[in-house]
Amino acid sequence: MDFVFYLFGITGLVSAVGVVAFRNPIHSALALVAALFSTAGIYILLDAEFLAVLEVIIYAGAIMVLFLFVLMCLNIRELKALPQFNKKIRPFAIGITAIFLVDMVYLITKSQFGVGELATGKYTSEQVAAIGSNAKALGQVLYTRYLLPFEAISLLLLVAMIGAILLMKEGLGRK
Amino acid sequence: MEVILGIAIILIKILTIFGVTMFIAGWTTWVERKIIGDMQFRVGVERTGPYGLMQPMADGLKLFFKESIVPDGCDRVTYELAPVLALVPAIMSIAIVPFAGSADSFKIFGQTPFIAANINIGILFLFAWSSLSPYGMIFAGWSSNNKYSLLGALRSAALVISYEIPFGFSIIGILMIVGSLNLIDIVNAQGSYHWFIYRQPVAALVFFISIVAETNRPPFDLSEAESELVAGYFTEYAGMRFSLFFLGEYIMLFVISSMFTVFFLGGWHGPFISYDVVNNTWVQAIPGIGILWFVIKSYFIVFVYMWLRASLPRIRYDQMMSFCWKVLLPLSILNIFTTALLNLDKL
Repeated sequence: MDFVFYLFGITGLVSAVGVVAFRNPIHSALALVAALFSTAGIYILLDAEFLAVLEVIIYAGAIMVLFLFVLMCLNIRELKALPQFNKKIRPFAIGITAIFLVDMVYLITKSQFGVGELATGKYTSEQVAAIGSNAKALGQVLYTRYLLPFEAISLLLLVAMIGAILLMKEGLGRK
Repeated sequence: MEVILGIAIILIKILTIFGVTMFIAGWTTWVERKIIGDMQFRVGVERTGPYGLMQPMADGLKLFFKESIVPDGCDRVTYELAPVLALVPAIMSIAIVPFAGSADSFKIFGQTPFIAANINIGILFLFAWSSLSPYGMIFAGWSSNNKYSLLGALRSAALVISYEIPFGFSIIGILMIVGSLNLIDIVNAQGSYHWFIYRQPVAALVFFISIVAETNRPPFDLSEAESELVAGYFTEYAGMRFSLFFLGEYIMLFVISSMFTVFFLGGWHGPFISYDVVNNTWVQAIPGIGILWFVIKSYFIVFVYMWLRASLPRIRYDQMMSFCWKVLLPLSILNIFTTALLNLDKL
């Protein structure tokens, strides 16, 4: 199992670097798909097959296809020179990266590789198996404990959808 | 010993599936050419072997020895990758096709049912792989450095993204009734002729239309419209690379037809085989009859596909999009709400 984890981990990391390093935006998008796949593989190792499949359906299957669609419509072949990095953004970029770095170091030292132990979550693989399946366990949690946030998010998405339709309608009206 | 036996069974399953898949893909092209020939008052293929049965072999050999031309100015990495990306989703999704049920009598080696991967999230697995199928087309179209290819790729990407939504939504009604994502559970729920095609007729219609669009088959084959786009996204492909696209398309055709059988036509259920509700097993009068029913039903759907191709003209692009968003999507949502209301007692 360890071997499979390292396999997914290494492909994930390499392709994540590729996303930033490739000159051609389409190759970057392809690398991002590979990174998403490796993450999905790690989810499966964690017995979270439902999350893994959702990751593939939503991110790799829908969002990345839309990305590629836009990239192809813009017909960007290759970035000849890297765009000049805006100097004003630099402090923010360094700050945000530093926060993530601290986060990662903290998590790694807390986990089993480091000194302490991460607290085990409420939903271990055994408990999920007792409930029936991943999807069932997730559904139960979403519709009981996290009902309010869940409904709030659905409302937000509905508003976004109506907003998109409204923008489209106004555009048509002006013509 | 247990471990070795387990690995051996998995390997045998993978090899069987690969073999069966290639067989299906090859001879489905023969079936299609014969049927369409018949519908157009032609003979169809007849020169190679009896009734032209060896035609797929001849085609395969010819494509194998043909030069694989690489167009000038193409993007090499994605150009090479695209045919593979077109084939992999199709082969992966055949792993979850349940040819026969969970009953003891179906098990091979006393260990495993007649399905390569009996997973809890069978339907989602299918959706995941079918949502990845546009990648092959997109990369093929973009990397070829040809505007016809690019146009075909853009069309197919937009089409697949749009039709994926009614495709997924039409199944939700069934999921609510069955309460499981496992394909075998879904077929078990249709035992003793409670087939979903008459319990969920609207869903069946929406599902059928969206699978025709998802597989880019006529009358929805705008991405490969010969009259406007030469051959669409694979215009620049030749030899084995071209045949990989071809294989992918025909394997997906069979997988998707078998999914229609699982969801709406009761899977392997039929005469001489009945579902024993108490023991949760299938009782069959003739051994292997379940697999036979499954293949017959699936191939009936494949036949309907070909029938559509022979009889309907290609639909205009904008009509197809508005049909998806303004007719199929509301219809499938309506179906979800109606099913939920009718099944309130299951809460």
